[in-house]
Amino acid sequence: MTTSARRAYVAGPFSPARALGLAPTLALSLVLSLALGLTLGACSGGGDEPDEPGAGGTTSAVPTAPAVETVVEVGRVTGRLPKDARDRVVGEVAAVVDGWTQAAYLGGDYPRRDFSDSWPGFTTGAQEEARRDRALMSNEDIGERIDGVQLRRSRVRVDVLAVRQRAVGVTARVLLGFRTTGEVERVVRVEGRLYLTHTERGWRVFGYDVTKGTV
Amino acid sequence: MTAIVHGLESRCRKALRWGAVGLMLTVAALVVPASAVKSTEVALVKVDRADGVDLTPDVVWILAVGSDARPGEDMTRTRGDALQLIGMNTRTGAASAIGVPRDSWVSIPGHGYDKINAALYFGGPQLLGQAVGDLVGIQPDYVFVSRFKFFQAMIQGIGGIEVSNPVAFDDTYLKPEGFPRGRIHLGGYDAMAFSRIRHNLIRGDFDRSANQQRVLRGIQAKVRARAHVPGFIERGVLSVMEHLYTDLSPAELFRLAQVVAHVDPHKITTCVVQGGIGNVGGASVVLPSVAMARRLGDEARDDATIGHC
Repeated sequence: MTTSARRAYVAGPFSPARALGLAPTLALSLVLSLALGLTLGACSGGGDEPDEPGAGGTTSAVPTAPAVETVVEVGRVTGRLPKDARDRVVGEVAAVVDGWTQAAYLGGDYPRRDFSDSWPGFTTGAQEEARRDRALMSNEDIGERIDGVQLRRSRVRVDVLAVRQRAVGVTARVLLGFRTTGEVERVVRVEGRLYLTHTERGWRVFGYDVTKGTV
Repeated sequence: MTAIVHGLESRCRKALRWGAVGLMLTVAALVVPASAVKSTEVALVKVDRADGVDLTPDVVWILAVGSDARPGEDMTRTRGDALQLIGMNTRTGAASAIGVPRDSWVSIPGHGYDKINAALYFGGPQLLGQAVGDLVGIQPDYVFVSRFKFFQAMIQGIGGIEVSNPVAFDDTYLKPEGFPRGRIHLGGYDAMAFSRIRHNLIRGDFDRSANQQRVLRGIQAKVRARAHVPGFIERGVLSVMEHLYTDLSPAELFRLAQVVAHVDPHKITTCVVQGGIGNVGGASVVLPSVAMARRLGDEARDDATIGHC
């Protein structure tokens, strides 16, 4: 079954105050993004199935499992943007995305009941929306019935809008696949788009269009 | 077994899809052809919010204006030929359009009574936004102005649109062969003509405004269908920047475009402000039903939804 949530949250004439006020992005995300060596400009590798052969498993509950790297790719860059700036944007956006996937799905101690901090890097309004969609935008629906999450596939593809050689808007296309263990054992696939603009606190998600399904 | 089971689309799929009435803004933001030469084909102006106007932050209001500016004319200082006040509810995905006949005889702040579209000539997008806002009771957050040539290019850029035409009509000059009744395809020129013709329509300006809303719906449907294409929105926003006179930042445009792209087409409601036909100084004018305009405004103000026309 696949469910979806779509939100593009804007507060009237955009209020900077609402665009801020987010939980900090997980530093881990940035490290991860940089460590995995951004496959900038690379084409998509392979299919979209989250449990493709060869995908290892990493989990917050099973730290000894082999790590699965998030594949970060540059998608469409619209407008001129120097390569170093492009690399920086993609890395920062990947970190924001990773902050969400860690906080919402992969991280924490399972069984887990509290998902209230699942959306770091989201604007305040987008957080409110995501909270309404928390069964989809986090593991809130199964958190108490699982004891672990094994990452099987993680990919972020970043489309950038650049104006006057500055990135002003980003669409991050996300694919995440993980297996849950415990009372509920299933392979879950989260896929969709996050929309981000840059604020004084860095890139922030103001909208999303996400599906969550069981493989 | 590896199989994705696509089941029940969750109620969460409430989102905000593209919207309403096609929002010229949206369209412009998404399909404007790139140009090597910067030209002012579109204007998008953020309207300073008037004190005392209580707009729910989750609802964004845009006045979409089709200018009748001829080549070489400043389209922000001519007369608006098409006036659609469009609201989008970013929480529910609802959107509504309130059409205002261009010949509506109203009070224009600082200029006495005149046809409402003269406000653009007198005071640019800000004043036109204020005049329409005073009539409907909703002050737009943004005023978006485009002209025919640009509009045609937009439609062409998305490969035309489909509209449901309730009655066949034609026009000696713009479309002598006419538009048949039913589901029809409109290319760039035809969409422009469909939006402009009024002489052979039973209710003239009122029916034309409704036709404009049909075109906007068609645009919305087309754009929505392409919104998922990687780089589509980004490319559109960048393109519109090349044609746009605006005080909005590119990031704001990007966010607006995304919001519009997520309006749910099933939650679009449209109405045209009705009224009578009068004569002022020998000129035919529309005497708009202020009560109806205000009722529509009251219904849509907080949630961008109109119960009935």
